[in-house]
This record gives sequence, C-alpha cells and structure tokens, in this order.
Amino acid sequence: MQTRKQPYRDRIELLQGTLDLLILTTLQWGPQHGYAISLAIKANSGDVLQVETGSLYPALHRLEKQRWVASEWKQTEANQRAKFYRLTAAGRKQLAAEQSRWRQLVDAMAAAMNPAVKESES
Amino acid sequence: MNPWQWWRNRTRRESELDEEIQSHLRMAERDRIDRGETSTDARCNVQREFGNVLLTKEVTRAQWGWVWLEQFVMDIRYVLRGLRRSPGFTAVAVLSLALGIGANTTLFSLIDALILRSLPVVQPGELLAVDVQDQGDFTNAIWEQLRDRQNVFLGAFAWAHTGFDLAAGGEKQPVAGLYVSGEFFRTLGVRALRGRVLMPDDDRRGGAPVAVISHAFWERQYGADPHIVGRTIRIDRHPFTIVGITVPGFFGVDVGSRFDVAVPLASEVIFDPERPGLDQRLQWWLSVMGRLKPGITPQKAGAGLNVIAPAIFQAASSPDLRPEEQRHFLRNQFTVHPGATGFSSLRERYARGLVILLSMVGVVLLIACANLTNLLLARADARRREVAVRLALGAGRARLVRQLLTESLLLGGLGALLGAALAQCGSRALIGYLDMYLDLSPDLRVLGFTAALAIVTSLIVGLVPALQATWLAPNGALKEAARGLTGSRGQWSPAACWWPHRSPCRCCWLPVRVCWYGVCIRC
Repeated sequence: MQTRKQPYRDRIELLQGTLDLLILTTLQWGPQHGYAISLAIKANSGDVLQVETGSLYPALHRLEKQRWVASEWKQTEANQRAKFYRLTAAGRKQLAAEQSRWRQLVDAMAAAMNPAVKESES
Repeated sequence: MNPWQWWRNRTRRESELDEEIQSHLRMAERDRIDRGETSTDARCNVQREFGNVLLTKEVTRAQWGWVWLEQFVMDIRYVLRGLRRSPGFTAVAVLSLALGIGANTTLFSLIDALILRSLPVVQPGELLAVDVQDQGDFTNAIWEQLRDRQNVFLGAFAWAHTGFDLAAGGEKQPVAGLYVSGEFFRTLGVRALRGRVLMPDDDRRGGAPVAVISHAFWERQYGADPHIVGRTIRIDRHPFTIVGITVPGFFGVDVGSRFDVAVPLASEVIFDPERPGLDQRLQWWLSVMGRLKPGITPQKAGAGLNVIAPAIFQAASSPDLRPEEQRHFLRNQFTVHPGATGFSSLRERYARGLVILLSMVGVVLLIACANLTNLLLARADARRREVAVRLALGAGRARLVRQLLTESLLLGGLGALLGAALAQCGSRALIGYLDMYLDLSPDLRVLGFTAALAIVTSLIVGLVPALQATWLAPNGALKEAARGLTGSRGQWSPAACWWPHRSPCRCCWLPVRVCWYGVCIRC
C-alpha cells in the first residue's frame, strides 16, 4: 500500500531541480555518459550524494528533450560503446541561471536558520 | 515532433534506450571486477545497485512525451486480441450498436437533407423566398411586376414545376420539368457543365425554344453522351434545342424533388398557345426567390417589397374579380423568409414526424445500450481475477479503467462504422418508399452526428462496467478468486446501486417501450 501511495515517480520529482543542476554542472567539464555522470556526482560530493539510476536516465532524457543537452554514441577509453551527453549553448545558459538561483536559496536558508550571525556581523 | 515521426522513431529510441542501460551495466560490472569482485558477485551487485531496469525504462520513456498515444495503441491491440477470443460477444455487441446507431443516423440524415442542409448554390445564405400573403404562389403578372419594380434584390427569379412528355411519338415518356425565369441560373450562381445555362435573353416570348437538362438526367437518359448539347428533343411534341447541362449535384431549389429538363418561363406559350398560363391573371403557379443586395437585411427587404406592393397588385389585378375580391386582392402583401435551405412542401409534411421518429429510435439506442451494459457487466465479472492480478502487480486504477473504456470505444466505433453503412442503405430505402428525391451524400454534419453518437454510447455503455471491474482491493479479490468464489457476486460491489439486478433493469425499460408504441400508433 505504501508503495502505491508514494509511487516511484514522486521520488524523481522531489529530486528534479537539484538533479538537473548536478547533471548540468558535471557536463560543463566535457561530454560524459550516464554511468560516468553518476560516478562524478558521487565523487564530487564526497560520496554524500547517491544518484539513483532510476532518476538519472529520465532526467537525462528530459534535459535532452528540452535541448539543454545533446547526445551521440561514442567509444569510451575502455572501448565500450556508450551514449555521451554534452552541454548545448541553451544548456549553459540554463546552468548559469540555476546556479545563481541555487546560491540565492542557500544564502536565504543560511540566513533564515542562523539570524544571530547576520546581526552580529552588522 | 509530430505523432507520426514520433511513432516511426519509436523502435529506434526503444533499442537505443536498451543499449544505453546495458552499456551502463557493463561498465559498472567491469569496474567492480577491476576492484577484485568475482564476475558473479559483480553482476549481482550491479543489478542491485541499478534497481528495477524495466521501471527505469518506463519512467524514461514517459519523458519522451506521447505516452498516452503509445498506451492507446497498446490498449487497442489488447482489446482486439480480447474481442477476437470472444467472437460471439463481439458480434452481438457490434450488431446491436450498429442497429441503434444506424437507425439514428438514417433519420438524422433525412432530417439533415430535408431541413438543415443548404442548397448547393453560391452563397445560399443570401437567398430570400417571397410569398404572396394569401396565396403563397405568384401569378405571372404579379411576378413580372415584382421583377420590374423591386429594388432590394440583386436578382430575383421565378420557377414552377411541371411534367413533360419527352416521347417523339407512341408511348409517353414522362420527365420532371421545370419552368424557370431568365435570371434563375444566374442568380443562383449555378453554372453549366457543358454548353450554357438559360439566360434572361432566352426568356422572351417568341424566342428560340431552348432547354437545359440536369446532370443526373444527362447520365440516366443519355448515358452522359458528350455530344448532346445542340441536339433537338421533343417536349410535349414541340422541338426544343438542348443548350446545356447543369453542374452535378444541382437539383433545383425544391428540396425533396428534382428536375430533368428546364425550359424558359416564356416557352409556356408554346405548349398552350390558346390560353397561355402566362396571361392568366388568376393562375397562381409560380414560386419566387431573390438574392439580397449587400447590406440589406431580410426585414428591410420585406418592408421594401411591401412599399411597392399596392402598385404591383394594382397593375396585376384582373377584371374577372368581383368588387369585394378586388378590394381583397389589392390589400395583399408579400411575406419573406430565408431561402438558404430552399423550398419544400415535404418539409412541413414530414418534419414533425421525422423528429418524433428520431426520438423514438433514440430510445431504441438507449435500450441497446442498456442490454450491452449488461453484457459488459457479465464480462467484467469474468475478468475480476485478471484485474485483481494486475492491480496487485501495481497497475493504476485509472489506467485499467482507460483500458476497459477503450474496449467499449472500439465496440462503439465498429458499431458506428457498420451503422453508417446501414444508414446509407436505410435512408435510400426510406426515401424510395416515400417517393421523394433527396441528396443523401453524407456531409460533415451527419458524420459528426454519427461520431458523437458512437462516443457517447461507448461512454454510457462502458463506464459503469469499467468502474465496477476495477473497484476492488487486490488482496480480497485475489483470495476470493483463489477460493473459486468468482461465481457469486460479493456485497462490496458499488455497482449494485446502479444496477440492482439484471432483469429488473430490463423490466424498467418496458413501460418506456409501451409509451413509445403508444406514440407510434397515435402518429
């Protein structure tokens, strides 16, 4: 019953905003395939953020549909065929917008959770 | 991306997604092996880490859009398989719907052709029919006065139906004849397929005797002979030259009748040189219509005509009238009404009957719906185990209802197709029986009516069984099914409120039927 009331999709929607930002951030250093993206997010966050593949691939396809990323099939260094995603110009713009929004949110959260610091500073 | 492109790319996208996920799994597996896991462990761990591959694919596919279309196609395939497995049920369902929808479409297409459809002429909305208040029809003198004095119409015309004999000798060959004034074809905007139509110049006494034939008559009588124009035919033994054939589809302006041969009004003198109807000031035989000048409303036109009415009736008066009749004649007025749908005496005669009949066959369709709902309820009962399993596996209720509704929609669609075919035969048979001529080629209005009927019936028929079939907790239903209790209907069914028992439901239609039979008999 619990699973029916909280279907799989909901968990993706909860993560959606952040996951998109994480993917776009990872891709700004060059084209990557899905597996490498998930590894990179995990490593860059100090193993804190675990990206579920069940959310990663829908997110990649959604970003591609919005034309923020583009994809092509290439060989990896280990000579595996994989689908590589790269950032488009529109994707770069979106990344900048989302990054600034995220910073705003972080600052606002910090200020809200710790008002004393701000008062003592001023 | 349009749906068609999307549909064509579907298989490629599908296999690409599969390959993408497989490559992910392979790479993850290799990494684990490199870290020293055995290949079996690596594969297990990778799969555990990845989670549900099918679900991931499904959620990813949902991002592509058009999921509803894909599901719709899947549903249709599933439904077709199910229907093929029970041909008896399918046949009964489709046939009963086809009869119901067919009967309704038949009557509606008659109503459409007789009442709703515009004349097949240029801008029918500008046409205005004119009557003489007391008589309806016109005498030739009144018509000529109106033609020469009116200033509200771009063009006005008169016509009269008659019968002609086309035989050159021997046995009679009756055809539908039409007298038309010179402006008839020009004002209606009806062109000639070959040759020319009749012009104002033809409508002169003593002019050359000419005739125009209808397209249908040209095909029927002359086998669409391309050299018919210029040939001389005998109308009531008098020679007339065929100068043209009208465009296909034009049957005149009287809905319910048609013409074969049209001759100028003035040639009436030829048939009756002694006492020509043209000069009979008390012979009311002409119908009149006009095309409004731009910017003139029907009300304005009526008022404008009545301003000149006294002068017209004065000039058209007859010395044969007694003094009181004379006074009455001079006080006459004109009435106007919209001419877009043409003239019809049949309309007044049949319109009410047709509407009553239509509501009767509407009730017949409702009865068919009720019976079909019972069939579907029984089917839903038999399907409870299947539905329970699918609910237990995580299918959404809305999704299942949609699938069941697809079934009734498909039945409704098939019924409507067959019904439309039946209606084509039915309406033709009916007008043959009533001995009238109507253009029954299906138009958008009739097709829309049939489609709407199909959709509404499908929803009426399908909704309750679909809701009932999916209205259960998977656990209980599975256990019940496992215990083999599917035969008895449990108390949980909310459908019980809708259809307390099967047979009473049919019984409650009985009084309705009786009522309608009563109406039938009274009509």
